[in-house]
Amino acid sequence: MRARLGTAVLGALALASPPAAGAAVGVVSIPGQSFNPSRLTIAAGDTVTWRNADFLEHDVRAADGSFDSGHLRRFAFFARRFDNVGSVPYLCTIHPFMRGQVDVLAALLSGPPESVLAGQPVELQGRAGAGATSVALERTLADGSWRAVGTTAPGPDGAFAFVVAPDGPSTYRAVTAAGSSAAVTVNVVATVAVAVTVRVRRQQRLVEVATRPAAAQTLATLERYSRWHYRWRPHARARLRARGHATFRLRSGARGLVRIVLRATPHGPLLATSTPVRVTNGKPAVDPLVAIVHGPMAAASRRG
Amino acid sequence: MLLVLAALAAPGTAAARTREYWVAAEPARWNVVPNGLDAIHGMRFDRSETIFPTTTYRRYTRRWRHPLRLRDDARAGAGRIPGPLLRARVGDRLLVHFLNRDTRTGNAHSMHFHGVEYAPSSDGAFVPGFSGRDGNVPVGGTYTYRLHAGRDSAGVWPYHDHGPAMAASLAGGMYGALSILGPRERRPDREFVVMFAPFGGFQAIDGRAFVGNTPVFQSRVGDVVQWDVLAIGDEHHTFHVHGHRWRGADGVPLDTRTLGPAESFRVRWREDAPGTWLYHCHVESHMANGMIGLYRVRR
Repeated sequence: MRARLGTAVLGALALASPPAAGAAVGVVSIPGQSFNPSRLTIAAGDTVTWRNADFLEHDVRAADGSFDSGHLRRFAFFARRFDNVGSVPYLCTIHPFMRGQVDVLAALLSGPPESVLAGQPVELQGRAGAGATSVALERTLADGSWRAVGTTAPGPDGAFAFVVAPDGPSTYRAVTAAGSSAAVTVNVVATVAVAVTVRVRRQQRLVEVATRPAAAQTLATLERYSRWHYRWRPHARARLRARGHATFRLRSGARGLVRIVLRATPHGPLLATSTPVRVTNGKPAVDPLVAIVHGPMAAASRRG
Repeated sequence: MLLVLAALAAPGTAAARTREYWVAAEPARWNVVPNGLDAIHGMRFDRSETIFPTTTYRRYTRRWRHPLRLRDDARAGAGRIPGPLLRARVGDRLLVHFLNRDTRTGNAHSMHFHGVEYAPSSDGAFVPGFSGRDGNVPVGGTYTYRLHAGRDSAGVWPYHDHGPAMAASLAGGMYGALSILGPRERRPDREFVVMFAPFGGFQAIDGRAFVGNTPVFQSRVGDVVQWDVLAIGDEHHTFHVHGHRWRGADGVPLDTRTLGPAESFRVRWREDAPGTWLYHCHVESHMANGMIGLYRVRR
């Protein structure tokens, strides 16, 4: 299932500390003869507040006449709760060129702002409209159709989150009984470049790791090659810092080959492997196992 | 002063004593080829081909409170497959307390010891109509085997499950070694257990196959090293160490020695050959299918 969908919902959890349901999450300022922002997206049940910061009087009236603020003097405000899903255009009747729109969705969903690594767990956070008792996360398939990949119950404030680990670019949306959120695309890069440099200090050798794109929070494992065991053995682990860097320390007499492997979780799939480098001088080296596994029979299992 | 000197001259000498071992049979997931590689032939294996659920012996602290992993056992290649290396000296009494924790199969198990003296009630073999609980310890049950390292017990001997599920147990690694020193014999500086037995379709030494997976035994020049060599299964094996020779019982130099199922012997020498050497079964197909390992001698 995971391979076919190219994704997996690793978990769903209700968020703990969100704004109260129906709180005035939307604020539209009137700094002059305009609405800011002119277009606002909210969840059903949210309240939008317009605040006049201009010296002139304005008003806020729905194009369909469903609400009218009346005249708003400087620093006066008007609040309106939106329970129904849909788009509501509005204008200032005093200055009809002042126009805005509130888009009311059944749920809000947001993804990571930057590209993530294939297989790296990422959290999609959202908030369901008032009254929703269940939220489904859907993902697009190759033919453009949507397929549910997980469900959760939103918290009392409507907040929810899904953890996904897409192995390719993926588009998601949250669906409740009232409708769906806007689509959110998670950009996925298949590979991350891992650069390893070795610096010699008096008492130790520093093995510095840099990743591109920055694989922040990813688990980097320093592995050392054991000649007698024909294998790379984990030596130390560290979470990459915000810019995708980490530093390992080895004692000054350390020798042999090291490499860095990246995983999202200690036992998760391999995201990237660096070129091996020599601890003594930091120069790149050929992986000894690549040299050992040779010939046309190498790929085939002898027992298959 | 003389007494002190005498003690130093024969450091192994000690009064007969009672040695207690706490052992459990418990489930394990065993990887015969942890590095997934037959390095000599450049072949890779998928984990699905090399990992097997099984049941092994495991040493515990008193009253099975905590698993006990000894550095000596690890260096000797023992611990799970083969089970703990049980040491004694001629004259000692051994109390081996056994607990069956094999919830994986639910099978009854036992421990049966070669080379030592015991009453039939400590034989550990399941014989319907004759044997007692010693040969048929149910899951959750315990039994204490009372053994004596007699005059003829010096040497290395196998122990293994001899309960009603013995065949499956032995294929899965429920065996180990007893190492018994003579009354005044010096303990070696290094002791290596080489247990030839098939496992999961591989020819394994100590439950592992191919160089780098089988134990990498280590010593230094000048060490007295002792190899405890045993065989379990249906086949004969020939123990061979590169770059070394030893004397047989008749004084003739050997570098290869044959043993059949449940046979065992030990080989000693003072190490004088630094380098990385091979040890292996010289039955060619066994060697090619995993019965081979590395021996590292440092200066």
